[in-house]
Amino acid sequence: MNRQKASLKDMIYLDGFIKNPVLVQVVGICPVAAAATSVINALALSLIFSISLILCETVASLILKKVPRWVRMAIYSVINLLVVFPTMFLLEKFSLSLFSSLGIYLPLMAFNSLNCVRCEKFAVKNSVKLSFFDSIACSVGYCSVLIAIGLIREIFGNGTFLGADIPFIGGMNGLLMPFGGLFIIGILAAFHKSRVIKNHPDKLKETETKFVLDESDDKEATFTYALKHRFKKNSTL
Amino acid sequence: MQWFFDMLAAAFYAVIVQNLVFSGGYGLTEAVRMASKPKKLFSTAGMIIYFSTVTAVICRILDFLPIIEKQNQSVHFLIFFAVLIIIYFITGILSLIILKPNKRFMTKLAMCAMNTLVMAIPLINRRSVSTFGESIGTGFGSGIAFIVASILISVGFSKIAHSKKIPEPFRGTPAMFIYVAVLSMAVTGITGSGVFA
Repeated sequence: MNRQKASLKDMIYLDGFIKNPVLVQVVGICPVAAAATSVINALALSLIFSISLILCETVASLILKKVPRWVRMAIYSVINLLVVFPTMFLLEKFSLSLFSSLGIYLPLMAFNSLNCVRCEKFAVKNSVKLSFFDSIACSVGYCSVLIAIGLIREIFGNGTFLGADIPFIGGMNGLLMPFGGLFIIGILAAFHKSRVIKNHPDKLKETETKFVLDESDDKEATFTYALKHRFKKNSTL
Repeated sequence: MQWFFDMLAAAFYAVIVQNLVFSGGYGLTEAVRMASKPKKLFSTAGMIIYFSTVTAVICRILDFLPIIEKQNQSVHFLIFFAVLIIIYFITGILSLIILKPNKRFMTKLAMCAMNTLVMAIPLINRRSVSTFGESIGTGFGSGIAFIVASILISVGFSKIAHSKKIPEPFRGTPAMFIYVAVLSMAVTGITGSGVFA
């Protein structure tokens, strides 16, 4: 897909679904695994994340292209703070239960690595319009996983839906802990991969996990490379 | 001498009993990244130890000031955030002057400083009303916990990476997530939490 001519729909399909930020790119895991324990929590985190990512990518594309990378990366956190701090302040005043439920994961949204990765990989290299589209596409991908995980954990971990009790379900409070979140992410990642294998086999290569800000920086930082070159001799199973 | 033993106990707790990477998911993205780049693990962990310890110590000292101590959580976070940003810029400028590093070093410095694990330490210390020694120990211990987590992820993933016994959809990233979940469950088990209500 030619990125310069890509529509918002194409970008949501590629960056939001095929290369999902959580399930494929393995970025921004902390709040998903630990804080998305109910639909309300997930919705709150999604809203904060989406606004901060859209703001961050737009500003990065607009005025930060000439700034050195090490300075830019701190500026992204400051931009996130502009969204996170007022939200924290208002929640602490008016919705203490949600504030307590999100705990320290709410302020830590200012350090969500996905903002940094998308700004560095995309926004500083592209136009404002494309960066805006990219931020929406990534927000859709990230928030859909966040809400799905919040929903599954609330129903099966807490036995409730939007706070209302569901009879005969619940009791697995392990699902509310970070390891429960990671299990669900793993299962969703497998489901996502199976869908790509079945419906979009030509896109399978794009689902390879990459861990670099800039592809030219380090070709070794992919799981495929690691599998072929580092882990080959140790394979025992 | 008491503060020294507090520090050791807190560091031990942060590394073994409550590995913050597994038990809270802090810095998990970076730990997984480092698991695929083991050669860069120790330099990255060194930077994380530096930022988490220095930030934890300064934030704890500030917390002893009555004017800061009485502020609400939001303002506390704002102060801690400012401390981390100032430490980061001072470190960055000193690195540029003294070490004359390349771009990769500076990028890595930024990735380590702007990390959930580093910012989580002062917030956790404040919540658990840690002593000065415990704050240093938690800061240092969480950096060591990061190394332990990355090594465990790297070693474990190397064992399951090529297994043909794993169904195709689970190979690669999904298997890695489930493996990390098992490790996280093991650490949570040490703290005595139950899986079922």
